[in-house]
Amino acid sequence: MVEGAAAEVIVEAADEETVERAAEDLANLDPICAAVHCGCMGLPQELVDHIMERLHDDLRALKACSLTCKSMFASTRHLIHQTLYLTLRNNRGVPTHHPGRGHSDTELRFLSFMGKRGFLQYTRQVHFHMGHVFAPDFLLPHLGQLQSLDRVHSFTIEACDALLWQSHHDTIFTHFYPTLTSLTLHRPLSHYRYVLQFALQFPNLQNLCIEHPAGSEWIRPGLITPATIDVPPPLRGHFRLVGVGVVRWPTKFSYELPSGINFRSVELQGVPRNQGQKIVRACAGTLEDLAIMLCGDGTHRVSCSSHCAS
Amino acid sequence: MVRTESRVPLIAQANLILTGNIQLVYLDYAKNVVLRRLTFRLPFSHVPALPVKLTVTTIPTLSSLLFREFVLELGKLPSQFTRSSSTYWGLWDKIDRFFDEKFAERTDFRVVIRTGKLYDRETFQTHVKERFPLSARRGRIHFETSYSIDQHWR
Repeated sequence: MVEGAAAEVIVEAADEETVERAAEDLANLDPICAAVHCGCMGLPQELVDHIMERLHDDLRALKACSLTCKSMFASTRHLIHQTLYLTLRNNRGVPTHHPGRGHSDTELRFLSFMGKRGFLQYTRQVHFHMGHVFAPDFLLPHLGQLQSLDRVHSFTIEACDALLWQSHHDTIFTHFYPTLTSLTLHRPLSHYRYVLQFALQFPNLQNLCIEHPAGSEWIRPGLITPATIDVPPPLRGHFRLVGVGVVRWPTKFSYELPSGINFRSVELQGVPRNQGQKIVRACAGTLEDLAIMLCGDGTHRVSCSSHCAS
Repeated sequence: MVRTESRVPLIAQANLILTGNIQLVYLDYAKNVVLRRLTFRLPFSHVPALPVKLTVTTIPTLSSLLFREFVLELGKLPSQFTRSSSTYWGLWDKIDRFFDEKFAERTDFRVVIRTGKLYDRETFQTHVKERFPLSARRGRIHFETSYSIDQHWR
C-alpha cells in the first residue's frame, strides 16, 4: 500500500521538471557519491522530499512512508507533526501520575509529552479542542512548552473565553505574534468585543474564522471598541463568519470590525443581511471571492483550515 | 443509498425563509469593483426558490468588470431525476438570459455547477443545459465534482 501511494505520486510527477532535474543530477553524480546520497529506491533526497510534500495532508500515507526507510522517515517527520492536536483523546493517551480530571498540570499533558520528545519544533498549526473552555488556567502550567511553539501560522480554538484572556494578550501569546496568520474561533464565548480583541491582538493576522459565536451581551465598562485599535492586523486573506444557531446575533458585530480590513475572500453563513452587507462593503476594494451558504440546518461546515493554510 | 427527491419549489422557498439564510441573497455588490467570483452553496432542494429574487435584486448589482465566475455548489442531490428540469430548477432560465446579456462580451465568463457524487450525471447535466440554454450554447457551463461536498452536507 505504501509502495502504491508513493508510486502514484511518482507517476503524477513524472512529466514534471522535477523528474528531469533529478535525472540530470543523478547522471552527474559519480557512482560512489550517488550511493551515499541516494535516499530511497535510488532517488535523491530532494525528490523524496517532493513526493512527501505531495502527501502533506494524508497522515496515514505519511506515517506508512515514514516506516519504510531512513530517507522517508527524515522527510516525513516535519509533515507528520506539523499539526498539534490538543484534544481530549490525545490527552488520554498520555499516562499521568495525577488520575482524574481537574488537576491543572495534567489537563494539557499531551503538550508537555510532545515537547519533551522534541516534536514541537515541527508544529505549524495548533488545534485546541479539549471539551472545555479555553482558559488561561489550563495553559499557564505548560507555558514553557507553549512558548517553544514559535513557528505556528494557524491556530484553531474551540470555546475560547475571550474575556478571561483579556489581561494575558501581551504575555502568553507573544511568541505567536511574528508568525500567526490564521485564527479560527469556534463557538467563542464572551461578548463579541472581547472576541474581536482577542483575534486582533495578533499583528500579522490575515485569515479569520468566527463560527457560532456564543457570547453574552454583558460587557465590562471601559473596554475600547475593536474598531478604534490603532494598528489593526492586515486582515487581507480569508474571512469566514458563521452564525447559524446563534439565538441573539450581536447587533453591532460587523460594525466594530476595524476599518482597514482588506479581505480578498469572504464566506458568510447565517449572518443577518445588514451585517453581511457591512462586511461586503467594508472589503469593497479588495473582495475577489464571495461565498454565501444558503443551507437550512446549519450542519454544513466548510473547513477553514484549508483556506487559511493556502 | 437512495435519497429523497427534490421538494417542490414552494416548500424549498418556505424552508429557506424559515431558516433566515435567505436574507444573504439580497446583498448589494455595486461597490465591489474587483469581485471575480460569486458562490452560492445550498442544498439542491432550495435551488428553485432562488432565481426570481436573484434576478430582481442581487445579480443586477454585479458591477465588477473583473467578474468571471458564478458558482452554484449543490449538496444533497437526489439519486434520480425523474421529473422535468423545471421542477428541480424553477426559473433559472431568467438568470441565464440575464447572464447572456450582461456578460455577452466577456468570453471567459463561466457558470460553474459544482456537486458531489452524482448517480445520474447524464440527466443532471441535461437538466442544467435545459435551464441554461444560452450559456450552454456559448460553452460557458462547467461541471465540477468535489467529493468533499458530500462530506460537508452529510
